[in-house]
Amino acid sequence: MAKPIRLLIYRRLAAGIGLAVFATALIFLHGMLRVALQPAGLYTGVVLYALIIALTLFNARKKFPFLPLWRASTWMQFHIYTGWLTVLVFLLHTNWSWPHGTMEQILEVLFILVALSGVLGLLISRWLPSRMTRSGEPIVYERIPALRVQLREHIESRVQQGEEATGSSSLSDFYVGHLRAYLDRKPGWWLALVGVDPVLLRVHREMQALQRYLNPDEQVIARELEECIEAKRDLDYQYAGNRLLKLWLFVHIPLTYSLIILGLVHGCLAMRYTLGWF
Amino acid sequence: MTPGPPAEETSGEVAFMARPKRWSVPYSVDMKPEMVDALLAVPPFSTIDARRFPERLPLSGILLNDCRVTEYKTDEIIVRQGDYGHSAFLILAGAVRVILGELPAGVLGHRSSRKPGFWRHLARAFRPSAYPEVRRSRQTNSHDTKAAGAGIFLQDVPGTLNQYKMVQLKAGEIFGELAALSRTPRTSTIVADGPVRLLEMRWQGLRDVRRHAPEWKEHIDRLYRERSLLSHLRETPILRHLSEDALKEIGDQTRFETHGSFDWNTTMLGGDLSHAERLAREPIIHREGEYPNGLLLIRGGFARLSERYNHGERTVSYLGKGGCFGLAEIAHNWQNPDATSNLRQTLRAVGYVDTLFIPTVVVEQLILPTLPPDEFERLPTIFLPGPTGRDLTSSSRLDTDLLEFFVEHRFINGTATMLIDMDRCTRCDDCVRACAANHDNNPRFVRQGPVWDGIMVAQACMHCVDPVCMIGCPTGAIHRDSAQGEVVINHETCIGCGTCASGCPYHNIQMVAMRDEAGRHLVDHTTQTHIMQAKKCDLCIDDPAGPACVRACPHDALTRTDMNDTHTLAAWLNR
Repeated sequence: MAKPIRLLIYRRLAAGIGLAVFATALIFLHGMLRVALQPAGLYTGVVLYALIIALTLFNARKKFPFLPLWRASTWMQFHIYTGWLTVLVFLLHTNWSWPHGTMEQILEVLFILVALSGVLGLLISRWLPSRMTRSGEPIVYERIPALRVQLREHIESRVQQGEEATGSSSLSDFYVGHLRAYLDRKPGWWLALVGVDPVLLRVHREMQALQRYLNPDEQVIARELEECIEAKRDLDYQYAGNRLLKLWLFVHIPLTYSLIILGLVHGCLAMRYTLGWF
Repeated sequence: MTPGPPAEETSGEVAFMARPKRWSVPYSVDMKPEMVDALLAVPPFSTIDARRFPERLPLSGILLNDCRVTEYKTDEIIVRQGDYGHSAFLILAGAVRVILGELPAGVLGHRSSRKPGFWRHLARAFRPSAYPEVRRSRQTNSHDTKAAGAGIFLQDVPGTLNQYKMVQLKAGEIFGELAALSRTPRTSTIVADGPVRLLEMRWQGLRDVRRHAPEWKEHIDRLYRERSLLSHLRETPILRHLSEDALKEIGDQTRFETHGSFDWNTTMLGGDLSHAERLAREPIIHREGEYPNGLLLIRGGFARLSERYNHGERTVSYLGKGGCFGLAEIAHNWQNPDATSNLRQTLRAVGYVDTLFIPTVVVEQLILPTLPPDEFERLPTIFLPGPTGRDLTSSSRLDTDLLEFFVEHRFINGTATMLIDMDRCTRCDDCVRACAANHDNNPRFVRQGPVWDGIMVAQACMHCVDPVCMIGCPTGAIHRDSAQGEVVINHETCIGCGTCASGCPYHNIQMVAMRDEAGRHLVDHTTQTHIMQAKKCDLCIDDPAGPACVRACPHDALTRTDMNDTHTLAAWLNR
């Protein structure tokens, strides 16, 4: 029996075909305008600015979740595909060339950064969640610091118990020398991308080296510590993943607002010198 | 004296008030002590020994605070089939007609729920709630109205009289106890047969009268069994084409059975148990390989269908209310008496299961010969609530493992379970923020919960088929919305006792400290402790566009789904 096309794949296909048709029509129209010696740059500029405003409305919609204004997922799809279309309009507007004016150059850099951060965000949003889901239990981001403290307190108490029971300082020396710093450390967002933590590797190495100084009772505690280190690794990955999934928005959104403001100034100047307005 | 709402006084950073009690808000303010005295002087209340009731819960108190007297005009609808009800009725004077059969919505005058419109929602954006969880001085009191169908008259009375069978109930008789006691929709439409005067008793009162008056308990339980049996048989697809007489004959030979334990909600989470140990805890109703000696209809609760697989058992499906077991085998044996087939699967009680058992001989004599040929052909498939396990596992993400996960955590009880596809969820928390924006700045769910194969069942009220949270509520504050059946809390009558929160086996109800409109914490002036209220997801019942969490998810990662609708569930999982 033939497998039915999945809904999300079908949606992607339909939107992709729609986008291709729209893009072809736009390129054709732009060519017609140029052949007809019309101010194509002005028209594409207006369309480009309108598209950027329309894209920004997605963020505005999030501020009013109780309004019956389509589902956020519909807005998201609109945002993604209109975003691609905006890139095309931008390229038509700039004639696929690097501008000469300083303001135009700043605008172009801003646009490229906004577009790139958007694409990067989309890729991260599609790629990272499944990796995070399979790297330990999903944890609410705000709870991670508390869990980290809890884990550290548990380890400290076990190490202390071990020292008191065996009279040996091997575990506590290891804790003070290597483990405490690792437990206190907040990982960077890059950990979610790289996946390999050199500090953790060092801790594992030291842990292996430690085995030769442990008696059987201490080895039991050491095994427990290894489990705790695994738990910390999962926490770190969830923390880094959550940060990365949020961080790109701190680039994308402020740059978008800068683009809107500078774009408005650019538009007013273009109107002033092209049409004699203002 | 009728107790009024708790009075408030303020002092500094907190506001003091009397802690709300069970009868702080009576069922009706029109119920007066003299009416109670009159009721106590006539049957059936005059036959009840009032001394059996505890001092804190006197019969007169129940009549005063848990009852109301309502009057209906000729042909006025008292209860409508399909609506959720929380009360039973005693006919004081006059008569009513019970309509047997399903009336069209137009005849019943169903009104769409009055939800606030776009502009009112827009206005909320400009005056958001400044503090989380405010107890407003004036909130809607859903109790002080007649039943859901009241004020609406049966349309086309002569046509209805000709088309449908009716049963007349007269003064002294009780109706509505089925929906009130079983937390299920009304099974019939009942209209006034001339002017009628009724005593309406909310289910908490009915429960307490049953508890302390054995003669009432016996009478109501008998009615419950008789009426629920016939109503269930009528609703069963395979019996729909049978006459009332045939149904009665089947009913006479049908056995009520209950399997498992009613306190399943208090013992369900056996965290460290292995799969085999969990299965061993679930009582077997019918075992794979046994001869099918009867047809089993599920009336309530859930059952697990499993089959042997090497040295273990694998779950292939689950059955809820309306499910049917053994029919395919009985039909096969009836057609092929020389090559009989035994049961192909084992049926186990998950928690507790109420079943109706119809002996094979009755099925063979009364049901199978009258089945239309096309229905007979489809027998193996039409009576399961969803696709069978084999269908599911062959091509779906809803495989045996995920089914096991849903059954073992009892998530199959949910009608609006929040599922999050963690492979798509970017942890943006837009769902949580949207929920908070819709509910006094305090989200009504937590975005965490058990995960299997990337599917998280989040901690949000599932609006269960069997909402056990409602069982202990002393005031009826937690109830089902009469039209849609969502489990909601009336914040006017919630006294913050926490019974629902501790009764919810999924921990989806939270007790929250309340504030007044100035943002001060409300404190009980006697005990100096916070005034609490139960809070939970209400599926954004006032929102015209539906649950905000679903609408707010930009990645299509979140859904609210009826776990008994496995077709929709499988379609979402396999998007």
